[in-house]
Formats: sequence, C-alpha cells, structure tokens
Amino acid sequence: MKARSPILLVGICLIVIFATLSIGSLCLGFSDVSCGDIFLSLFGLSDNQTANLLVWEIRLPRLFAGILTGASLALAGAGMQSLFRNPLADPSITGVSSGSALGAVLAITFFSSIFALEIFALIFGVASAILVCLIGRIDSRVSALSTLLGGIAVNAFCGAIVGFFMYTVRDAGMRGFVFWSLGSLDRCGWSEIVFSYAISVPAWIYIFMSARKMNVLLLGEENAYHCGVDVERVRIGVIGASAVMTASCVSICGVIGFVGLVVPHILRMIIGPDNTKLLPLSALGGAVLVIFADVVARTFSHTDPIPIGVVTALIGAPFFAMLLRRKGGGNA
Amino acid sequence: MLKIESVNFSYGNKCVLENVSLSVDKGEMLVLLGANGAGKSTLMKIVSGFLKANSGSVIFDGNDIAKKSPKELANFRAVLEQECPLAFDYSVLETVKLGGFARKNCANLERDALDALEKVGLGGFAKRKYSELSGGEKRRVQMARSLCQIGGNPENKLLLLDEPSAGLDPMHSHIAMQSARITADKGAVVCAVLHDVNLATAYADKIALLKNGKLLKCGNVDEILDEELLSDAYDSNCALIKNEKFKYPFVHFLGAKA
Repeated sequence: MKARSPILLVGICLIVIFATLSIGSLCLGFSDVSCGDIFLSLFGLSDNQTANLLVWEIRLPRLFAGILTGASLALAGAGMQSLFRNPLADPSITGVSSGSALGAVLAITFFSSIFALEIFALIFGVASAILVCLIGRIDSRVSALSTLLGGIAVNAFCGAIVGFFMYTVRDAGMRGFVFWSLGSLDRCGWSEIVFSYAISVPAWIYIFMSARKMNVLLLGEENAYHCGVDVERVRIGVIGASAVMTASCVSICGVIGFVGLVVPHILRMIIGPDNTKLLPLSALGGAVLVIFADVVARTFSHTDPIPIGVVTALIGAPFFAMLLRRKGGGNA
Repeated sequence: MLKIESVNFSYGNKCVLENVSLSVDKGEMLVLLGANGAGKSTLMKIVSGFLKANSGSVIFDGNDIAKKSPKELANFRAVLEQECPLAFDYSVLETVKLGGFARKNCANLERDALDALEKVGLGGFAKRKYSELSGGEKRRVQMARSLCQIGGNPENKLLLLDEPSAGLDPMHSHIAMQSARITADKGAVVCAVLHDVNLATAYADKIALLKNGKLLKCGNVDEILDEELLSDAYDSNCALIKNEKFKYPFVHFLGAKA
C-alpha cells in the first residue's frame, strides 16, 4: 500500500522523542550524579561507583523495562484491535491482564520465593487467554464475538477472585500488590528484563510478520478467508502472541492500562489502518508513552513514586479525547 | 469445469441443502435463483470452500475445493460476499488491492486494482476514503476487489458473486453483471446468486432454481423460463411477458399463490 504522507513525519517525530526521552530517563532523577558522569558510566568510562550503580542497576534496566512494556502493550493492542475489528479492543480483552493479576495475588499470598510472582503472573495470564479462546471456539472455529464475550467473563471471574483475596487477606504484601496492580517499573532487574525480552521478542516478530494478514482480516472473517488468509491460524497466533507479550509485561511491571488501547488508536487516526506501518509505529509510540510516564512519575514524586498506570491514563486519556474530538471520533 | 456432486449440508438439525448436483463449463455463467432461504448462499459458501459439505464434493478444474488451503483457493477463485463491513478506513484503492493478498507476484497488483475499478465504473475513486462512499459504491468497490483477485487473466478461474446487484441502481446492476459476463467470456467460471430473474436471464448461460435446499431444475434460460416452474420456485404466481425488444420474455411476479 502506498505510504501516506504523515507516516514518515510521525516516524521521525517518534524516533526523536524516543531518543530524547531515553536520555532524559537516564539523566533525570533525584541524585547528585551529573549527566556527564551518567554518560561516561554508560560507555564504561566512569570511575564513579555511584554513577555506575545508578546507570547499570537502576536507570538502564528501568529504561529497557519501559521500552519492553510500552512496545509490547501497544503491539498487543494494535493486534487485538485489528483481529477483533474493534477500536476499543485492548490486551485485556483476552483476559490476560486479569489472569496475570490473579496469578500475582496468589503468588503474593501463598509463595515468597524469588520469581514466584513473575512465573505465576505469566502462567495465569497465558492460561486465561487459552481459556478465552476455548470459550470462543464454536463449531471448530474461533468466533470473534464469542471470544470477546469469553474475555469479559474471564476478566470478571479473575477480578472477583482478586477482589476476594484483597478483601480477606490482611497482609502487608497486599499494599505491594495494589501498587503492582497499577503498574510500576521499580522492581525490574536485569534478570527479569532478559527473561521478558526473551519471551516477548519472538512474539513481536510474529505480530510484525502477520501485519498483511491482519490488514485483510479488517474485511471480516469470510472475506479474509476468500482472500487467502487462514483466519483460524492467524487468530490463534495473534491472540497467543498478544497474550505472551502482555503476560510477560504484567509479570515484571504490573498492570499498566491504557497503553494498548490508546497508542494504536491515536496512530491509526493519524496514519491510517495499514498494519505494516501501524505496528512498528505503535511499538515506538508505546515505548514513548511508558518512558514519558515513568519520567513524569519519578520527577514529581521521588520518595513515593506515582504508579505508572495512573500516569499513562492521566496523560493518555485527555490526549485521546482531544484527538477524538478533532477527528470527529470517526472510523479511525 | 465446476462439478457440484450430491452436496448435502445442514446447520445443526436443519437441512439446508439436499443432494444438490450440477455442473458448469469453462466460460459459462451460472445464476442461482430461488426464494429467501432456498439455500443459494449456503451453496455458494460451500463452493467457495468456506463451509464444508456434510457429504458430496465440489470439484473445480480437478481440484477438490474442500481439500485446498485458503491461500491455494485464493489463487484461482474470488468471492463477493453479501456483506463486507470494513472495520477501519482504507482508501478505495487499498481496499481493492487487498484482493491481491495471496498473489506470489504483486508487480501488476496496482494496475489490476485500477482496471477493476474502471470495470465497475469507479475509475476516479481510487484515493477516496471507503467510509465516504454510498452503500452502492461500497458494493462496487467490493466487486472490484473480487475482480482484482481474479486478475488480468481470468482463464480457468472461478468467480463467485453473492447478490452482486444488491443495493445497486439498474444501470450499475447491469455494469456489475456485464463485468461478470466479460470475466466468463475470457474463460472463467462465474456463479452468481441473484434475486432479479430478468437480470439472470439477460446474462446467464445456465440457471439453477433452488427451493427448500433442493435443486428444482438446472438448465439453460429457455428451460427455466416456465411459468409453472418459476411459480413453484417462488410460491408466487408469475407471468411471462414477451416483448420483441428482449431476447427472453420478461418475468413478472404477481404475488402469493392462492
């Protein structure tokens, strides 16, 4: 498909903002270390132990976690919106977020071992997506509508159990869970990040490779089949990839809302629905939103950081509403 | 070239098609006629490969349709469905080019898409947004998408059209049927579901009359133009009005049988 004129401009803008924010994310923060020391440390040229510790153990993992989370959530959102042909779809539609939340609350309540939370969140998130697909399977086909309704049911069920635990268990860990349920990059170390990238990057590649098929799916299931798309396989593949990406993010950063919904939607309004362009720009846009939200959260509150999910929603929602008003809310 | 043999199909316990057999030769256009719920669209879905028959087979050019992958099918058959709600807003040209998804070589895709738009009378619409079109124009864009999928060489290809004239004014109904006719004349097999019997007689080589999932008759236009047969198919009295301007008599339905 022919490139639309804003695509290049949007791409360049996002790359510039991304680079600026990445530098800002490394340099900004409440410490006595100068930007010069930060850069020297980044290239292995600094003897300042505080700077090395700050860069390599705190800020760089945080930046990489932000990139991973933003890109994965936005890609999963774009995938879900194309797959279900619904601009309101987001990664939570397959029950992954609530399933992961349930896994996390069970891990916090019953297990204290290292990685228990990540593993439980990942397993429960993916299991929820599988359950939703099974519910949505009618006459050996995965129906879009039944899958959406199945997602609502699984979300409600997992949410109810999480609510029950939060209500009944009087544990100090629960405050941690509340904070985690609103999203945070605070607890991301290299091991968790490498684990999550190893899981997410193949899913990214799969989603990128499915872009043309998802374009055809926008014609509807039957028409996509007639055009040569194996609808069943693409649907399961994209749901699976989105589930893996979302669950791996949730397992390390908690539930960060709004990114998967708003980033692809905003970009689609500007550059159009062609997934071959929308997906890479969504990944970049998602990373930009999460890094920006993290910088804002750290800048305004260094002692008790604001949960990042709160910031993404506070930034994204008004911007989203403004764009909807300007575009007439149309068929983006 | 297209052989439908003893096809049976049911949705749950409801039998929709019962022992339907017919054949269409290369370069022919078959029109399926029948009242609502006769099983025409279901038969089209089975011929397209989207639905699998409970028993029986559909063979096109030696290929068992039920055993082909979607991509293999898309290389020799194109389908215009009754409905095509586009989820997000593509341009008209982008929408038509989606028909070329399965092509191994996309070198001629844009040219074929523009040609297809010309054929349906939408030559100047390539850059328009799909959402800005009228219902009839959208229908013609989808027709163009099917023609684009068939490509510049329709020989030995299968074009399936489910109500191609739905929502179109009389002139554009004829334009749609003329482009289907030209596709058949170039060596394709065309099957179309229609409700307008007179449109069918104007363009079809063969007409299949379905009633309650059974094939009442399949034959050339002369064989189908029978008042008793058509009245039975539609449960409506009908009259055949001869006029020297037309090759075939005009079919006029008079309302439910007493």
